Amino acid sequence: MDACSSSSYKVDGENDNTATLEHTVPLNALPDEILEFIFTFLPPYGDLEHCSLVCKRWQGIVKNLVRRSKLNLEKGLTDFRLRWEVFSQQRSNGLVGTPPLSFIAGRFAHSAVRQGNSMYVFGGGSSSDTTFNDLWRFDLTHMRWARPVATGTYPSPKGSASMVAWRDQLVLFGGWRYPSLHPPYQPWCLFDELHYYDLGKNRWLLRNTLTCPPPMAGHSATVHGDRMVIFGGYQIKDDVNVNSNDTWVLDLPEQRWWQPLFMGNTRPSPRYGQIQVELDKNHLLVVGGCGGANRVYTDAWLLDMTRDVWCWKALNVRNKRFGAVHMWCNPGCKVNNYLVVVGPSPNMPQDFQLMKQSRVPVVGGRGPPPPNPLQNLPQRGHRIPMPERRLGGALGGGPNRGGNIRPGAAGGAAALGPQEQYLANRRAILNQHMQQAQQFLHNSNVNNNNNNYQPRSGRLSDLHAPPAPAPPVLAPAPAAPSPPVRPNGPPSPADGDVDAAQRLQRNLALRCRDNEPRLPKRFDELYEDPFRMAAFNVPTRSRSASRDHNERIRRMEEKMNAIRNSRRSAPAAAAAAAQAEPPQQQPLRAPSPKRLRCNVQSLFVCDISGILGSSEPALEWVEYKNFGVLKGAPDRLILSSLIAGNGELILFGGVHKETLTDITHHVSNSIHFLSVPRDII
Amino acid sequence: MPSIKLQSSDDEIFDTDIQIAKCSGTIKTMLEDCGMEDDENAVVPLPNVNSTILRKVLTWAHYHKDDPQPTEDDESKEKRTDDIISWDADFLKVDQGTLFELILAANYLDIKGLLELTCKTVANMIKGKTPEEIRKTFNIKKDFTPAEEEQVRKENEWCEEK
Repeated sequence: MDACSSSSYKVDGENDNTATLEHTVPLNALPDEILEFIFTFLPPYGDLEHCSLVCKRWQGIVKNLVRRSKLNLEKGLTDFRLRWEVFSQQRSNGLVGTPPLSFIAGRFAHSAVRQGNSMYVFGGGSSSDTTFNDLWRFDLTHMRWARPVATGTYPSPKGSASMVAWRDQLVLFGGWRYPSLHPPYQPWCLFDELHYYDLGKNRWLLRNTLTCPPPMAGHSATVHGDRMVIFGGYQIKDDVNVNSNDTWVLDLPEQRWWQPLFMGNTRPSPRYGQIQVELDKNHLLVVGGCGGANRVYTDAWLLDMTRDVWCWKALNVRNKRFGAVHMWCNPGCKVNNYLVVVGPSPNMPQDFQLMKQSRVPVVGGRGPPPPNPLQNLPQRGHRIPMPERRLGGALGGGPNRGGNIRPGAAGGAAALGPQEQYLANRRAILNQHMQQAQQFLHNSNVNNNNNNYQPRSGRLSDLHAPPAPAPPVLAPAPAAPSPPVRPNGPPSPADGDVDAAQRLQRNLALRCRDNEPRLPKRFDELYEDPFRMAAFNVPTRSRSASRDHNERIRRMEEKMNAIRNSRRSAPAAAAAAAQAEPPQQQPLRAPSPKRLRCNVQSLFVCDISGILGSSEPALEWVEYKNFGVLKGAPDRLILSSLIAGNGELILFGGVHKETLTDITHHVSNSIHFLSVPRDII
Repeated sequence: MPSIKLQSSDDEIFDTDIQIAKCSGTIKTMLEDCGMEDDENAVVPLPNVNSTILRKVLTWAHYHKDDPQPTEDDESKEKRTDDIISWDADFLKVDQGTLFELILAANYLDIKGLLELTCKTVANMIKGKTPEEIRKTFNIKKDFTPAEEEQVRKENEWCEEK
């Protein structure tokens, strides 16, 4: 430095003018730390790769930087010290001096995969009940979308297909398509198409195979060497919609499907929408998934493919209370030793918590004719922990209880205090709400025979309709029991009441958004209070009390959790406890922070390092901070995609769950990057 | 306004406003630790910075003297390199040697804003270039054998487990 100080400077020379280099300080005179700091300003993709190819010193520095970035990301994940950054269309077009670029349309249930320095996105559902079959490439180095001009045999437009990268190809399999509106009543469609996309030639190739898995959607896929392993999925067998727990293997070079033999009968229960990640060449992990209405899984399974006969193993899940509860319509991916899942905040949206609870069937579940949620309404507060009993009781006591909830005849419910009554109702509504959403997703995945849209658009007029034939909207897929239609036998008077009440409930459910202040209030103002009065005989409450409600509901929930736990060991004692327990006995566990945004994505992190090479394989959820809500968190969307970038995670697309029931869905085309805040050196 | 004297490596004395001088963490520490703040005649020696560079640094510091201090948890600390304001861009229209010396000076004097700015500028010079173009731009000698280069190409540090 001192030696150079006497040299003369060309003050207004070009930045990359190399003419005077001999006499001045060269870039390589800078210490390693500063070069590394400079490299942190480069996109960690193509440019960084180029740097490592410049010279050995640079390669070493890049190596260091990469190692540090990986560590930082892992540390950020366990400390929940990360932040979200958005890349949206507005932002991309806002850059000065650049012409408007092509930009991908918003979508959900698309397929996304990373290959090299690009993220590829195929298909998915649009905002208007159609599906795409376009393929887009997001260049991570230059942060821009491009749609390759592809030739060959295009795949059908579809969503929830699996797409993996293998060598320089993408492999796309399965998926579903919306029914066409013209002609109406066209069934939902599932696919068994297998396509390869040649990235070098930009060419789609349809592969016809002799044997192949049945048409499916929402299955999961990973690549292990030259094999693609798919598991589960939504299928149709003998005209019946079923979930699968089958495993299929595609020999990728030979394009040959086969099914492995399994040791024993242990295997995950049938499901779709689960998260599947590759652990190594011979092991994969399956987490979560949905097995039908009210069957959302949070379990974890290891598939051992080491030997000729494969083997499923159920894994211990530790720290479950910090885990994601909704791992079937929310994405996850693996980052080194961690599984990262994005999903609804665990504290705020009560409706999602109910999903978790409903693994113990609260309303219906599977099996016997699903009980009418309204029939059980008055009892819910107390009886919810005992679904078996309630099922039996509902058959005999239906008409009576149905009568109880008729407008103006709520006397029967007076056994409960107004507060409990209200809570019970709220629970039912929220639950119903959730079911409805789930039901819709179900329907959207299956080859259903109904047009889903008419009843939804007509819901307001339904509100005051007299008892009428069962609404077709919920004509359920057999695998997805829900507020039921009773096609057999004439509807009894009670059934008629129940149907009407059901409609009320459903509509109310759609509009019950106390917890979601950011949602449009269009119908609520008009109908909410009369409704509550009429249908449930609940005193009118102001919105400002909703925080209070939340707390009460949370307490209620805690109580029921406790009851359920004890029920496992001693049903009778628990039943007594359920009757005896005063409503506000337990202290609040964790009051929600005041200024927490509630309709945003939370992050859930699971340590999966203890799965392989351990005699007691287990995964452990990392205790979250601030309910997993991080700075800049994106809005709560479902059916988005999450892939691992370099030192960051990349979330794309998705749909606002609440708008799935609207004519036009609110879908996203933004990319959200989750990364570590910059360090100051 | 109180001022102090900064002495460059080539013995030039710069009479500087104390607030401006203090944007350098190094000078700030020195002043506070040595109790020189009240001493009008104190001279702070900066043996690692020559007068040309020091003049530039002080020009920059003068322009940015009213910038808000970056906080620990700053939103704006993004990886963006396209947020350089035009004054800074003009300021850095210098030859490479000066730029790199500015980096060294900013590092030595502990001026975060200037260090970030200059490093971003270098990053922008690297961006979008092939390895060969980078070598040419910065006059770096390639020391890979073809086999080694192929090896580096194949490696993907991001994917390898620790």
